[in-house]
Amino acid sequence: MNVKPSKVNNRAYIKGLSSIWHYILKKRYLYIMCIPGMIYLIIFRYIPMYGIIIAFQDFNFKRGIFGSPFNNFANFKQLFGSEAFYNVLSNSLILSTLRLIITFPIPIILALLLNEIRNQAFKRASQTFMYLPHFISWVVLGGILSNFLSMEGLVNTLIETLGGQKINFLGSAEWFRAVIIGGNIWKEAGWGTIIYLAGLSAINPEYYEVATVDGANRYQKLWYITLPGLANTIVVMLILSVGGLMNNGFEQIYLFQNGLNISVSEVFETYTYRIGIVGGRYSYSAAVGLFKSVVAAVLLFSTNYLANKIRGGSLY
Amino acid sequence: MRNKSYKRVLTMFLIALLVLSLVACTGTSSEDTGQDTSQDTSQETPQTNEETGTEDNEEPADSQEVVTLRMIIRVNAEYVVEGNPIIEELERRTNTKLEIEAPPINNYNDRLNIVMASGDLPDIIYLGNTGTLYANWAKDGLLLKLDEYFEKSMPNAKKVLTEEELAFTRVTELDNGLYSLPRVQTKPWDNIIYRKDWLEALGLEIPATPKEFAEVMLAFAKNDPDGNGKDDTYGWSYNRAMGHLHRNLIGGFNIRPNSVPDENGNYELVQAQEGYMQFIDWLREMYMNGSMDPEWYLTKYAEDDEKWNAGKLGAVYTNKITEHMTSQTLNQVKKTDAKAELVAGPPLRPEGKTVSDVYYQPQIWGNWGISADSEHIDRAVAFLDYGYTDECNELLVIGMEGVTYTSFDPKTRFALRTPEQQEATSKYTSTYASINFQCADKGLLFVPGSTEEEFNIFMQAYDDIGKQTNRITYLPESILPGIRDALVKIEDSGIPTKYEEYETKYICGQISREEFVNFIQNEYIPAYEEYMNIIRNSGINK
Repeated sequence: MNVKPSKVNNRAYIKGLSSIWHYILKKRYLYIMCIPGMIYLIIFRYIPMYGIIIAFQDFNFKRGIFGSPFNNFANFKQLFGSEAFYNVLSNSLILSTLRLIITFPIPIILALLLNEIRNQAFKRASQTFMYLPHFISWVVLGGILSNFLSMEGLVNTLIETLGGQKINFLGSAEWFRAVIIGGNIWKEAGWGTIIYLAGLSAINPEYYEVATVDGANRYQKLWYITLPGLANTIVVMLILSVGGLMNNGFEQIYLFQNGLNISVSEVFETYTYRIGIVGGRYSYSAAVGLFKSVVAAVLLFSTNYLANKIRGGSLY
Repeated sequence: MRNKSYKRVLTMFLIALLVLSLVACTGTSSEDTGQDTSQDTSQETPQTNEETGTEDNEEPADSQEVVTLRMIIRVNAEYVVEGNPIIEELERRTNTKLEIEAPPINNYNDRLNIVMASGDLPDIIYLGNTGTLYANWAKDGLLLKLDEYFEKSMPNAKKVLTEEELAFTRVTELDNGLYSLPRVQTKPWDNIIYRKDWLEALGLEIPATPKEFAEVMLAFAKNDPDGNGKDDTYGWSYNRAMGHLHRNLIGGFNIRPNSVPDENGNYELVQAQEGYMQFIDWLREMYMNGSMDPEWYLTKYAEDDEKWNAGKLGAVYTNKITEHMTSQTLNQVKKTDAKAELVAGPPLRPEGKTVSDVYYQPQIWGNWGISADSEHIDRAVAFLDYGYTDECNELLVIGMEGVTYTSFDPKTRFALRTPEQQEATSKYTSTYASINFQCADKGLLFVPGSTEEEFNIFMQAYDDIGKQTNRITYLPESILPGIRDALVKIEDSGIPTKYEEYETKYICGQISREEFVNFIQNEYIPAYEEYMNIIRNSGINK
């Protein structure tokens, strides 16, 4: 009996749909639990995206987003023609790449170290102290850090006591990136360990027992069991971090920015604040923001593709 | 089996809770908004009903009907809006119910920008801006054009404001239209405040020239003026954020504003004038010899005040410190060091001169606009006009008898206060809260201080400094057509950012003089060529 190909496809399609439907039905509670998160994303992340239209407009407050005239990419022409923009782009990229390279492994190392602690009370106390800075705002933390690093601060007093020369941490372009990255590690590294600790707890303890029987030492267990067990988590976190590569955060940079480091501290966040909020050029700063998002999206897709090619596993 | 169904029920319950909590969250906010709106509407219903038959501009200004006016104002943190008896009195006098939004002072501009972009504008708006942003708001039709109202319905404002002052809030790109009214403060008096006890301890005189100033600052930094045996004091802190080319300093170097021509009628950018490099060299020398706060460049707003209050500095120069002389609330330095005594010195002047040339533009301290969409335009206009009377100024700045003062002398402009009234003054009155900040006769609006002694201290300093100051009034280039567009071009070139970097680095000794001069001559001055040509072609201040 000859069956027409289209009918075969149709049946396969219906069968596929039915199996998806059955799968959803089977996991219905998980899907229902996703609903609040999806509602949140739709309302607060997707719907506001219509605002990017103003990047293509000569935005008029009175007429609003839908009434303002389009301006033939004038904001983008101005953006790419502006000398200041390329400085901002290079500052943002250098800082965020350094931040990724230096800060990304730290929570992994911390999680591995915490995992090796046998005394539970000490382990929990260490975790609490490491999480603590995450809950303090940058304004407060920036003030503390400034006090530590000022010319009369704790760090410079220590350097001087040890016979060294004072270092102008806050007033030099050379030290700006180190201060920002160091501050970032202080604030977020502890908090970042949570996901890796969860990943570590998912590794089957039997592997370790077997390895012990086989005579493996601690480093061998770390290398051959723990790290491969964490690999998927690390890849997912890396992809997400690369996706956020263009984000340097406004508060921290703004707090530490001054005339002596402005050549390296002017990044997208401070630039759009100055031009957009202070200068009132909303369309122009929306164009800067859109450019930044497009680059971030390209980076995210590229990393995901590469991760898939290299390891056979990726975010989606 | 039973266990399984129990788990299922529990799961369903948790999911329902999650969904409900999210819906409740969004529901609450929208409900709140709805409530607010309905409250507003209900409050204003009688007004709205009455207005349906008449147009807004026919509404009588002295109507007995109480209307709700929404305002956004910029006030200091100590000022209390809720339950403020002064605001209640103002409402009574103007037949209004004021709904006031007062964002934190340091974030005011950010909040204002968001409000302006929101499409839901208050009736009366403190703009605090006469630049590009203000012009854009006017162009976009957010602000009411006030020319006609000013001529016909604002007799008090018309009586007080001069054409020079109004020029600041006219939008040249829109037929020179008036889209806000300036808040003017008259009779400015600049001075530098010194630690009198430090001067006396070191046997020094109040400095008057840049050279004398530098010598005194060095002595403050090196000779232990507080006598604590520690090397923990500095002469002063340069506040580039608030007082970059400040009148108190640049008079000592014969620097003129961009829009003031020299005796031959030539206009020169400040940075192209001879005195500019002398001024920057002078700052650099003080930084290098340690008489200046070594971390002055970290100041973003008024951190130098904190250092002054902590007893670390011997002088402050930005004009916000005027009241340090007398006001207990601002005189924090005495809390750190009970021996602290203060004295006012004149703005710096060149060697050999007895007075300092100080250039003053009309003292515009922000501006007030009315929303073009206001439902109560005439009442808002009337309210704003009342703000330009002495009666309103005295209410908002000096307060009410029995509440914030015991007696007030309109001639001397001094209010006698008890300590309790002084406290109430800080809470319920504020110079920031004033609509205008001057008297009809352009004299001092008030004399700071609470006691006879403070009155005498202030008036003596005011007279002494006044004798050593030659006030020259001029108009700045910001009022010229086309100047805003020229500024945007300069900003996009990245030159202002680079200028801040180079100047700061040069003062801190991080780059050579040659490098700095090279930047100023070959990059900075050429970038301002179009800008300066607009000034030259206008013939302003000639």
